[in-house]
Amino acid sequence: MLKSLIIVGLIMGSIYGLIGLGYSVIYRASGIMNLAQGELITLSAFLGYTFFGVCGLPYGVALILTVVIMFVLGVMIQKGLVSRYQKRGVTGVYMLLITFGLSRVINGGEALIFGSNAKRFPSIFNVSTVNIMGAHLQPERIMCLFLALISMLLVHLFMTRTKTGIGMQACAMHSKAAEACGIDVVKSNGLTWGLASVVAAMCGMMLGPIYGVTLMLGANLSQMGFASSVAGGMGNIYGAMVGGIIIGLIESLVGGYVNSTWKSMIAYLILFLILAVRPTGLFNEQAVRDV
Amino acid sequence: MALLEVHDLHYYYGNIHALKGISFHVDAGEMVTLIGSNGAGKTTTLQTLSGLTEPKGIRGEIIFDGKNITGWKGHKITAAGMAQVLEGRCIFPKLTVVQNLQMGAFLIKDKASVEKKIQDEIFRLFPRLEERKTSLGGSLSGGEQQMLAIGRAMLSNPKLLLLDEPSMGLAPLVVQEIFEAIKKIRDEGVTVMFVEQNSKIALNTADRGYVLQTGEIVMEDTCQNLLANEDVKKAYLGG
Ligand SMILES: Nc1ncnc2c1ncn2[C@@H]1O[C@H](COP(=O)(O)OP(=O)(O)O)[C@@H](O)[C@H]1O
Ligand SMILES: [Mg+2]
Repeated sequence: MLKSLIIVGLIMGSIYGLIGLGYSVIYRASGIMNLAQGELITLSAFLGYTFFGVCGLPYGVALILTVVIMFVLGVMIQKGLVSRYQKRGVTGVYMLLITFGLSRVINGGEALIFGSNAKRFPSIFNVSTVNIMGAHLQPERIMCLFLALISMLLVHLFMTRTKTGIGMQACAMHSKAAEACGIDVVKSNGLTWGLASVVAAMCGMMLGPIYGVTLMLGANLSQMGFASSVAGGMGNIYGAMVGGIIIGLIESLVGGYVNSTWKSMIAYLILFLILAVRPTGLFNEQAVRDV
Repeated sequence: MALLEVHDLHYYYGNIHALKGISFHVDAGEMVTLIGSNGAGKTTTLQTLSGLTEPKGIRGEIIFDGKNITGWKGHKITAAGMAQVLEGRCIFPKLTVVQNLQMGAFLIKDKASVEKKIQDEIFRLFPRLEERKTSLGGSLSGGEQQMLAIGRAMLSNPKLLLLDEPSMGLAPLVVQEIFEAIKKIRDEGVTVMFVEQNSKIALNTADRGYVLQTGEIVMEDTCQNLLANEDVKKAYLGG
């Protein structure tokens, strides 16, 4: 029992970590807390369902199409909405409200286009469960674990090892100095939102097959992703991964040994504890700016 | 030949008329200073040259290296060969010293040449930076941050290096060190223009100077003549 709870916890944790990574990327590279991140996940799940479940395209093709569309959408959100308000001096809670408003607009759009009924994302694999060390798991969940870990690793390497990624961080730390270094700050910020949307696309394509596609999919799960990124230290990319895995394990163990209705509550109580000991998250990340 | 020519430059922050039609030039190989007290418009001048102010507030003409760059975006102007050390240094606090320097070379494709320049030029000019190369920018002292900001600007291989109050907030000995480095940079063939409130060190370092007063250039001459000028002595050199 313990072994299988740990495996389930790791899988959920890696998903939470990946969701949290979407928040962290934007926060790290622009100091903005993007409350629309969850809704981008829902939208991706609807897109993936449409390409895979309705059009019958192979899962890999549906994944690539969704990733590309979400990248373009992310860039458009930054160029068309966020940067326009930034230019007018909108920051902090005012920007928070804009991202929240955006999440409601996207949610309304989804309801209009896809309707409010839950959609069943067809199985990707033709076996229904696999047995790993005594845990019977949907193969989709195992795929999630791998895709989440690979995505996190790639994003981490991109943000910390490539010139473009470090440049994205530089833009957040001092946009004028970044421009003076020769970085096209407008383009770089667009890229940041594109990347965070790609992370959302990966999440949507993983979560759809596990939970089914509903209008509430992203809203429910993104809370835990948000908690993960905060627990790890907002903006810290390892932090989101570690925070996610801690929360995933706590949830799974509490659900298995105590009571599954308490699992979120206990996960949050432990989050309180983490913040009491380390007020800026496990990786001690100073907030970039006031949210 | 003039590397930089500025004709009748105005800058408006909305209704605030910060630059009121200034004209000046910087010849290739020269070291020119623009002195003026707080609020005179020094930062506005430099940031407008570098494309870091809103273009809609600009009137007039900026010709750099034969090109009319008025209203260009900042990164394009950097690519054209003008780099700036910003007021207050503005290093990237959560990047390491080496990463900060690498950001200065953002537009340079040849990675090996960047590493070589950091090692052979920047670390030779500022050995302190080599000692601290893995530290985060935000953990450096003020003087070290100024060195880092200068090194970062130099990594774009500029033809013209602009510096905004390099002495600001630094101890006299550190100011000396920074100005020695600026002279070495000029001796390597880079054209330099800097603005200063510290008129004494500015006029003792540069070849030519302009005096900026509430958005207007009120005097221009060689630094030697400016140092000897009674008005300059009274207003800027403490009698
Ligand atoms: N962002 C801004 N918005 C409005 N006014 C500004 C802004 N920046 C500077 N100013 C005004 O422009 C004038 C020149 O400022 P500045 O160029 O910073 O002077 P200096 O660098 O010589 O101290 C000052 O009167 C200042 O108040
Ligand atoms: Mg100034």
